[in-house]
Amino acid sequence: MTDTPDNSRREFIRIALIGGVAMISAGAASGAVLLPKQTAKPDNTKHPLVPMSKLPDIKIGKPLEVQISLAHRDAWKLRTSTQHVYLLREAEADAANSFTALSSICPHAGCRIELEDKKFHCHCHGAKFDLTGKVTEDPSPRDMDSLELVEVKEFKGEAWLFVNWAEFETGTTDKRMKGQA
Amino acid sequence: MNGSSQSSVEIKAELEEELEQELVKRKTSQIKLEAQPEPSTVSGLLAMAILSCVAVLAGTGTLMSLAYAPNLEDANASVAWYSAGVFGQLSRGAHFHASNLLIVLSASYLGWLAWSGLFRKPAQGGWYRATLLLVLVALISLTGQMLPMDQFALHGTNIRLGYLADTPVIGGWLRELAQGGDSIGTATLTRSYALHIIVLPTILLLLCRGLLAQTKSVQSTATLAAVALFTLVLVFGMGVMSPAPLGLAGDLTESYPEARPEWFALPLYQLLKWLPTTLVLFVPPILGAVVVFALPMLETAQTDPPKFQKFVRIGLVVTTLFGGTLAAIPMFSDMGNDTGYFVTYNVEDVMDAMGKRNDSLGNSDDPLPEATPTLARDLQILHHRLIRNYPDKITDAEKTDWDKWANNGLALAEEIRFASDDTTRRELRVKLREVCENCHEAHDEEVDLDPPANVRVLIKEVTIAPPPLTDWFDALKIKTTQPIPTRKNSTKSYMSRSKIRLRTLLRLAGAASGEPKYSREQAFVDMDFAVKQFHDDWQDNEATHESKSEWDEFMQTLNLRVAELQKANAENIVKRLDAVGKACDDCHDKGMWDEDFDWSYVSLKQ
Repeated sequence: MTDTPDNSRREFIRIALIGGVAMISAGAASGAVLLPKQTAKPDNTKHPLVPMSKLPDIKIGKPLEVQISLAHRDAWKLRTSTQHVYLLREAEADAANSFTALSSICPHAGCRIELEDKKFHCHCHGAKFDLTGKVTEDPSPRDMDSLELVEVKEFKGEAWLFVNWAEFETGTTDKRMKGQA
Repeated sequence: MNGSSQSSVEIKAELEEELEQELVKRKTSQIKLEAQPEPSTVSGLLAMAILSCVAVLAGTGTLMSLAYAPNLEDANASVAWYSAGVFGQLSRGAHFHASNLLIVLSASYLGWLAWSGLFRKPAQGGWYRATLLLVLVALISLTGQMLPMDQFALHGTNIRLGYLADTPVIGGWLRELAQGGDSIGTATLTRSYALHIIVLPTILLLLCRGLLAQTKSVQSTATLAAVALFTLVLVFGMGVMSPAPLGLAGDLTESYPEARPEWFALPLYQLLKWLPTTLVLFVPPILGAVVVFALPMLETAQTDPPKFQKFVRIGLVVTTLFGGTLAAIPMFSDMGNDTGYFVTYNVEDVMDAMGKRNDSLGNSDDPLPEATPTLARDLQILHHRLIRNYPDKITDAEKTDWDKWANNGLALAEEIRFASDDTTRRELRVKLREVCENCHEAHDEEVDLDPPANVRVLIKEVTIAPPPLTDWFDALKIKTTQPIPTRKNSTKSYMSRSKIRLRTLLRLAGAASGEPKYSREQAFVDMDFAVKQFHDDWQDNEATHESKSEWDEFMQTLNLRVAELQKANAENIVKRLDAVGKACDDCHDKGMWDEDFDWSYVSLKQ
């Protein structure tokens, strides 16, 4: 190829284009791999849920929706976000083991499950669960995720029910903690 | 070389001579040219339309990037701010419609190449480029979808990240990469943003070169110009007619009943309801990739007509019909159930959402939160959802009122959003609450949207001077004041009316916080009237009640207390109001009158 002015211009444009794409892709790829994680896994285990003195108000077959707020670190920022936990009574005694706590995150695709009369309903793909969290209508691959409940004797001068908040992988038949292979 | 002095005729003659010598040297008499697929006018036109869309997207996208704030707190507000003006709305609308059109065009382009056999060697390069184009356009659309950070964007992103994590083996790692951490945060947004505006468009730019070459198959420049012009007019025209949607600010924990994917993902969405996630999200793309790569291997352009043309065409038609049918299923089912794309909002849910934002706006004495414009914008949208959306059991006369309140609220929310200073915003905040409270009260529902802030109670304690010891009510005014009629003539609404007026009196007497909305006399006359009404109402329905004697006893006490109240002076007014309240409580505490009773006098004083 002879080095006429026309050819060198074409060559330049070609190199600029390919080089530009290469540099940008390399920048994006290395940034994604080398930059530190911006959001860290929140340590939100043992989250106060309800005072034990309120437990007698919760009746069998009438789930209670409790909002909890979780702390997150997002790079230079601290954020709080809310999550919803459904508290169900299974036995008459007012102790932690008489209750089940269900996460409101749908095991199918992670939408918010809502309590509608006599059932749990996820509006995204139409999954339905009965009042104990069992799947009654597809497409959820498993029942609603239950959370661990703990009794704490001394908190704000009262005995409280705490919940160990956790998030689980969506779309799997087995319940796996998020971020664990 | 002495090229400049030669004419083109001479050059041609020279080259032909060289060719002849070469043929003799290679012992052959002619050159057999490899068959080339016919250049197609349709693909040239499609390429031109695609290039026009890309140009619109680049231009409007650059404009929007100048105003966009890529962080979780401000993203939604910056988009709302940008699209509030006519210019912003037009450019954002054009960007939105051009991106949708680009998906349609890219898919049609690939489809056309398949239909007309333009994947056959040696045209396979164009075929692969068209596939890459479609994939890129889809990726650009998906990364762009998160940027407005409204409910649609955030819920969509959350779900898609979940799908990404379902990728076999490397799923978790991929999600972390896209998220920039363990959960959705600012990094998720900035990564989407960088991919959307820099990385992916640059690769798209490379493909544009091939598309530009493709347009040469169209002979007439005028036709090409007409296609480009038509695309621009179409996209900007649609931008004017239907602006790009922007919903409530994103909040993953808030109910989002209209959650649905982008239109082009509807077939997959429907499949996801039937089949396991992994099967739906990975089998069709892998199958598609295999087909795309295999087609050019199967035949070259030398066979004409193409061997597989029939199969490819049938495949195309079947895929399109299948996709269309799958997409139609959720559409029709949503239409029947008033959800998804065809959602009708439940009044109670809208009210809940409004209450949440009202609480976030803070008390009248508090400084305004930073998110005030976003909250006001959300309130605008929510008020809009109440217009012509009536609760059950509402009369036609009330419907007119309902729309009036909703429109009032809408206008005030808009004013808050665009007010130029905080003082105005705070005044408007109080006004908006009054509109809400008045509407609720008119429908016999008590709400207190502005719970007392501690600061205000303190100020009151310090500044209120001891009142003089005269009759608290003006006897003459009581005689001349007419009671304001209640909306409904039911025991319940009379009860509610007397409760609300009792609170007004407490406020007037300085025993409860909040601004009284009626004069002393008006409040008393209304309460007195309501008490007489529910007494009468009860007697009319006497046959249905058993505890008449007890009721009469309670009513006697209450009437006595109300009569005493009328004669109260500035010193004992609170005591006498307490006595009326106690009469109410005593009766209600019996628990046999109304089952859904849920207040006590003490609560009025808070």
